[in-house]
Amino acid sequence: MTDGNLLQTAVHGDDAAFRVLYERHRDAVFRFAYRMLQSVELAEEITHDCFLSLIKKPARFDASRASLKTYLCAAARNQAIKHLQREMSHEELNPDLPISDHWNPLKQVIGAELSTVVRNAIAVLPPLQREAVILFEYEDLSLAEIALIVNADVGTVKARLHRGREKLRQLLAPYVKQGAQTASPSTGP
Amino acid sequence: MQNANHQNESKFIEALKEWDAPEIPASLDQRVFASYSAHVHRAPFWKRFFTASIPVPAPLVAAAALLLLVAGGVAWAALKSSSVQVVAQPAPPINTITKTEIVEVPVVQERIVTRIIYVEKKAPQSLMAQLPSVSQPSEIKLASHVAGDNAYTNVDLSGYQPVEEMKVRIIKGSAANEQ
Repeated sequence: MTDGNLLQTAVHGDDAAFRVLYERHRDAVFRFAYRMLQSVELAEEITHDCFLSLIKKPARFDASRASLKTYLCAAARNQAIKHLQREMSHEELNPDLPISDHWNPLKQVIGAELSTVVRNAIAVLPPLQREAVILFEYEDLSLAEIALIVNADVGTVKARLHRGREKLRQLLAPYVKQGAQTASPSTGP
Repeated sequence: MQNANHQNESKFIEALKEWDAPEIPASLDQRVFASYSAHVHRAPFWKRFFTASIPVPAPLVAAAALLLLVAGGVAWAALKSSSVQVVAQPAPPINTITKTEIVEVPVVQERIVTRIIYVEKKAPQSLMAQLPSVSQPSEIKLASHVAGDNAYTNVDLSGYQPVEEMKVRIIKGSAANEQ
């Protein structure tokens, strides 16, 4: 059964259809929201609101335009960006700004696990680069799907993804070369 | 060189995958399903209206109950006292004779009509007599002729009526005034 059919059934009160729909897309929405905001509570809130909004206004979802996963991720993305905008100024949202040293959390996590290092490195990225990297690397979405989610053209997404990956590569370079689970940076030659 | 880049890329992606998202909390599922049920299986408005409940603080309820009791007591006392006053002695029977008389009252309808009538008025005979009679102009024949140094005027005095009373007025003058 397609997502569109399940949604129509769920809207008319079929609990089972809603459960299938929810369990099909819950993880992707939650993971994306969590990686964007790095907060379980906020990710939970956003996931809840996205599914409730889908049931309240099902007509907003156009199956001919995008998949339900793309639609839900776009809804989650909008909420996450709104939250980030409340927290930081417009300049900090700009993806082209260089990462300053005092923002670099890597200096504080020397010796920590690689997962923590990666998490902190992604947190350092500007939100527009961060969302591109997360959707591409973790959710395995295509550039076209990401473009739909972030409401930008494919070229822009490609550029943001490239810059984000380059920054991550720089930040993770000392740890990636070592290839170990512990994130002690290599001392170099 | 290309192999080294490929290795680096693989390691980079592996490093990224090290960061896992946490497990989804069970509370999320419960919240989402509860919200879904509340929205989809919502009772109609009239049912919600009649089954709606409003939380009221206990002290407020106690105060309201006390007020109700006091008001009820006061009302009861007022009703009781007024009921004593109402029970009055029966009034003595009064023989009432009713007589019907028909009286005719004339109704005068006055109507004022104003009309203007023009009447030809004749003067009284006595007044007519006092008015001087208008006689026909006398045909006084006048003729004049000059004879020598003198001029003569012939006057026919037929129909002449002299005045009954003559008043003579003498005007003093001088030769200078004469012409």
